[in-house]
Amino acid sequence: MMEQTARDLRAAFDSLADSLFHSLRPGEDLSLTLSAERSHFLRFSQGRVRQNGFVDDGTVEARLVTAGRSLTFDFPLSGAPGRDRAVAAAELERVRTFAPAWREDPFLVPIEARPSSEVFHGGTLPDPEALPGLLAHACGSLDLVGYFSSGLVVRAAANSKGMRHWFGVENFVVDCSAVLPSGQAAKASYAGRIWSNEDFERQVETLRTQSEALRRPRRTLKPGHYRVFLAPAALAELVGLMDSAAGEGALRQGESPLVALRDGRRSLSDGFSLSEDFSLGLAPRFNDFGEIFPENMPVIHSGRLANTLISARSAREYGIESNGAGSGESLRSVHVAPGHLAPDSVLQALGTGLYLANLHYCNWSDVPGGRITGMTRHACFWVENGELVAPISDMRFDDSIYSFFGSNLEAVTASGEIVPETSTYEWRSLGGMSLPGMLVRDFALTL
Amino acid sequence: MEKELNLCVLATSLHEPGMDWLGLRRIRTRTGYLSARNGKPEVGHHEWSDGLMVEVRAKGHIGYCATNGLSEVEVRDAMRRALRVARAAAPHAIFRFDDTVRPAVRGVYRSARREDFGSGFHGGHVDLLVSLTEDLRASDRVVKAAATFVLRDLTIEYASSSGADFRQEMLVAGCDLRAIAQADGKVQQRTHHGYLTHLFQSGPDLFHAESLRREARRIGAEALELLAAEDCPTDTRDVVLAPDQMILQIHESIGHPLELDRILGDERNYAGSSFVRLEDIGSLQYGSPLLNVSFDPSVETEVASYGFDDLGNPASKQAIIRNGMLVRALGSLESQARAGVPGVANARVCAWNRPPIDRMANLNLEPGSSSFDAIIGSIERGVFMATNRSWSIDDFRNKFQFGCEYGRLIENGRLARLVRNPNYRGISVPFWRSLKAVGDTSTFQVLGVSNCGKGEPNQAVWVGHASPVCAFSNVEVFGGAS
Repeated sequence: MMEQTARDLRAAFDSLADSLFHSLRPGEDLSLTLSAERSHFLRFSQGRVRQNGFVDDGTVEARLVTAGRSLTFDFPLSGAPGRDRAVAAAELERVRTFAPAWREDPFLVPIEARPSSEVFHGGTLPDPEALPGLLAHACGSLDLVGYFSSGLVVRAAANSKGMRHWFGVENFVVDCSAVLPSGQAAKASYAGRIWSNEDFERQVETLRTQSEALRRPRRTLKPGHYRVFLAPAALAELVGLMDSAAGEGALRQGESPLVALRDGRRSLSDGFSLSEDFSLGLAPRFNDFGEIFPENMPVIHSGRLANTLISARSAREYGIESNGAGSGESLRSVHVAPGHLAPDSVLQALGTGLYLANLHYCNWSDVPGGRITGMTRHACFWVENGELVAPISDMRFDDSIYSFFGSNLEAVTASGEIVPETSTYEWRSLGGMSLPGMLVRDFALTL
Repeated sequence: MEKELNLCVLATSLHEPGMDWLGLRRIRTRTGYLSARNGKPEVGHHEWSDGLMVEVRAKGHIGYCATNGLSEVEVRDAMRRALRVARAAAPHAIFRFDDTVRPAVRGVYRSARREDFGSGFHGGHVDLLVSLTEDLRASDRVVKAAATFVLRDLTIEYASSSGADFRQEMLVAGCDLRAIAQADGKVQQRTHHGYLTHLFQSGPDLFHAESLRREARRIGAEALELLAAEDCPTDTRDVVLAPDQMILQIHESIGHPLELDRILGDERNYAGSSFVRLEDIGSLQYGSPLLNVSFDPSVETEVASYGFDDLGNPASKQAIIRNGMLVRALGSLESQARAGVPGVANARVCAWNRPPIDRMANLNLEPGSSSFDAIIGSIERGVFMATNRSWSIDDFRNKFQFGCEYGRLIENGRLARLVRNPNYRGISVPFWRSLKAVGDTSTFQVLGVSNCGKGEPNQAVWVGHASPVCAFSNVEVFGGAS
């Protein structure tokens, strides 16, 4: 049924695009991008349903290029052709009226003919009406809190020069925590395209087991410097903050922590390599200009800045070549390279220190210095001589990427895992990161 | 041509067997967003959003279906889908709700300065926007000089099968200015009181050329001054916080911990929980006796003023902390029913496509009696910090760290030299108990926070915060990375 819905949405988008392109006046060009979903959400706490329902949404972002000016405008796509055409036409007219008041853009990105693409990943999704019962059965007395999301997610693009892109995926995400009466929790995500009740129940059992380890008395640490192991989910919080760090615009405008790396004043470890890798299949390769990004591009290679993310607009502004980054010049499908540390040797290699499963509320405390502050969260443990000893009371850290990804990066695990993107601000996000774990010899805890 | 939806008629005429109650919330927003950087246009953006949230209660559980399909046929289909998931979830629901969580109110709220959006921005705004970036760019060392104007016209219509019928219309205007200066490996930023904090229920008159241009010149000049300033020292001393930092302190360490749905555990997987327990309401000495905080939806220009929350609960000013004592949590009718404690009218949605959850709206620290000069004069060794640039707190809302753009040392009761990268950290309740002075109305400023995020699925709303200057004793302060 979702596949039919995807076909209907595509037909609606294509029909709307054709109608709008047909209505253009001489000298005008138009590009469209679509973000649409047909989603089910179920939010739960204490293993019981808090809120559940559906969201049928679609928003078109259009870019009109006229008389040297570039203006964008959003409007709904509902799938009802007559309504959608009328709304789109009215919004286009509104923007045409404003356009003379706007300024010519010396760095304007023209709308051009580009290759098209089409990708659809079907899936088998959970039954929204069966989920409450399944949740109750799997949880038993476990205090499980989090949410399910599932359904069709679409990203599409079209322009008046003939380019068409279509990316659709049927997927699900379960993101949840098993919480003890003490407030300690173990967290996990289960995401994919082929739902299995049994797999979900297994995930809940794993969480139950992990949370049992948290029942030991908590250790309160003093501020200081510690050896730590950053598990992939913890690393995701740190790497996630770097999403626009490699943007050419951010580097030129003083907003990137990588300026010192680019200038050669600071360095990262040769064990740290980060790339944009669309072979992971987590996100579409086309950007909001309709350009197709390379399947794989190193950004930081063995500690050196290999490539920045250069959008077509930055290319014009700075007189350099674009490499297909979108207008936001942010990372969309991150792969951090594995190393040589065997995953089952992590605790031995750590020796005495901290195993950090998750971090929380990370923020740049000093951008030029590359310093990030945040908190430990969920299943973080004090480890002695390679043995888990006790969960820790939450601690604040404040340290620099030039330290924990730099001089103090001791080892990187030989394999990683996919940490899916779980953000649902405005719409269900696509993407994720492929991340290993990292052993850091000195990590500053401050409070 | 489709027939315009009449929510009242639909809410009282649509019915399915097994449905105990139906609510319809339509939200239409028209937004204009203009930005310029370094004398050039950057983003000229307009948005139109229009959609409907259908809520159905069956056997005590409310299911929903949000759609931008606005025909009667589509609304009926949404109702049926919401009913199916409500019925499926009811035996496993966390609580059994009744009519009391969706009162049958009637009325209209209009923001005081609302006028028709009309044509929205015009050429004069564009000229001013670009000029402001030129004013910000005090020298070539200002590598980024950016200005942003926002206008949003919002209409909320709500009707229910139990007789609710209300409408809210707001016009919100916002302005952001920023200058980033760079030299010799140092980078400093200065903004118009933080990211888009000038966000009000106002109109295009917010974009007043003379005052904005004066501000832009100040901001650009201060960004350059900060390049040459020494780093904030690392030690423990008294701290005086300007309103444009107080708003984040209030937001993170009073607002969020007091959201009742967090106290009930709903956010433990995402935004976190709270150190506050239900039994603390009425008994926890949250701060010094100088601390008075209120939930106030009635401040004329404050961005989150409204007549009703998104459940239909009429909104009124309520004391949250009185003379330092916690007296009330920020909980909507649903949370009040679950917790058995009183709350406020604070159920909000970010848009038509999300269900309502407990949020801050306007949360304000009431002015005290000290002038700014008196506050500074009372401090032997301290630092004055202004304008938030970094924030972080733990998931129980205890251990926080904030960074500001601008600092001045305080020595022997006088403002002394400029310092850059002023940061401080602390723990919420001990920090609020160290509040030693609260500024009077001459130091009071109304601002907003444009990007408060929580909920699963996620929602970002704007909230209003107003505060005077405040002083705290013995706070751990520190500067930037070496």
